[in-house]
Amino acid sequence: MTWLSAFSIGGLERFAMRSLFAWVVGQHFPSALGFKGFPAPNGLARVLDLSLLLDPALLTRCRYLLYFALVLYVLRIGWSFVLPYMTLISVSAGSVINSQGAISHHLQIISLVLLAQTGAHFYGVFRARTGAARENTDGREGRLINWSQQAIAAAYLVSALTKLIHTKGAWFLQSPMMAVQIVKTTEQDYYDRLDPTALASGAAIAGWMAHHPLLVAVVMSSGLILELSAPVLLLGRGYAALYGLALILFHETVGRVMQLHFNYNEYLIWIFLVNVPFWILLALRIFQARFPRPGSARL
Amino acid sequence: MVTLRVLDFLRRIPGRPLLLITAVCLLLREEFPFSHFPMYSSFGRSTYYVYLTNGADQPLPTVTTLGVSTPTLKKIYESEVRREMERIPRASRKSLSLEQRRPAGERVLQRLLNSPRVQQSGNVLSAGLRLYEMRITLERREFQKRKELIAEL
Repeated sequence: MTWLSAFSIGGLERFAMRSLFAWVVGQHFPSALGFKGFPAPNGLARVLDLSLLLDPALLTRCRYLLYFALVLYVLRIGWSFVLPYMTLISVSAGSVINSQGAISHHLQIISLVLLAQTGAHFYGVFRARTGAARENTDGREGRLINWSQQAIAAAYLVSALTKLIHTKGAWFLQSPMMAVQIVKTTEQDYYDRLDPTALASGAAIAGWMAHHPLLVAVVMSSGLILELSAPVLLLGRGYAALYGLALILFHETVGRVMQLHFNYNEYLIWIFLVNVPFWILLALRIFQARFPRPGSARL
Repeated sequence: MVTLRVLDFLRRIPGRPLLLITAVCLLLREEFPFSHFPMYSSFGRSTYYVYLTNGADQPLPTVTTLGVSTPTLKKIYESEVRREMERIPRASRKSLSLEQRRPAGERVLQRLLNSPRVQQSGNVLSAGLRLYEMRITLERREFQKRKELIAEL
């Protein structure tokens, strides 16, 4: 065990994580669902009547209830009620959005992390009821964080496995064809707002890729390997932080080149993998240890 | 020795929830919140997107006019095309003629016109609405483009 992985999660660090995650959950919930029905039911919409969420007044009430739940979540009050509500409302909204005949992939990660946190919480409750050694609140929250990291890792691992399954392992050979996709996404981005800003740079990147297929294959495969090795981030804080920064770089590159932005993925990577508050606290602790002030308390 | 070290390294990875979520995502494929994340999971020499114009063939900004992004518009159109394919025995995406894709395009346009966003904004689409399919193909390191008028209302 390294000195980093042995470092206990501080109360301040966990508070920062809860607050930031609560902010992201609050942001991801839509202020309006301007749809008339469910032309292609998906997810929870297949088994539950979610048409209630299409009523703007009811959606507003659900949103305010979510904000209240998020406050309780940050304060660690009533998680047995708060977490299932947060998960249910997130999955319901995502199901409504994805039931319109077009599947989007920017909300899944938040619902998956909420699902993992709910699972981790009730796993802890179940363990306590079945006579397992009693855990304190911090220990239970540690499991929530770990399962959140596992949900994030799973999303990237699944993405990599799907690439290998769909191409029968030949993704490396096909990846230079990404140039065609870049032309497509650049022009799609133009037609969103008729904004020609990115047209020239997109065409230039696509043209360069079309003329350097081998180099493109090598670069693209590094992204695939990054996704495939996602479970490595679970080995400890150092791995999580380094891996998280690599994923941020990956998303930023994809965002700039293809105009495809996965903001919620990036937010969750910053919160649960890179975990800046921990590193600031660690730096402060080291600074305090090296330069102690007489009579000062340890952080 | 190296193999043992690698195995030991892999054994240290905790991950029953990881394995469970991975398995469920791959099995269910697309059932929110689970997904197999198929974006850019395979590539061909050719792809396409769709865009909208008014009756005078002037492009319309889909996000600001209709509240729908161009990629979402394509996904809606693609799911309508798949519905058309189900009606035609042994049809493949490539073999569908323009006439066979037209009903899909018309349904997309009708849906856009009936959307709450357009209905609330009044008469912004009174000048007509057209759906174009733009196909892009990479041939000998050059991009070829071909557009087709799919539907018009």
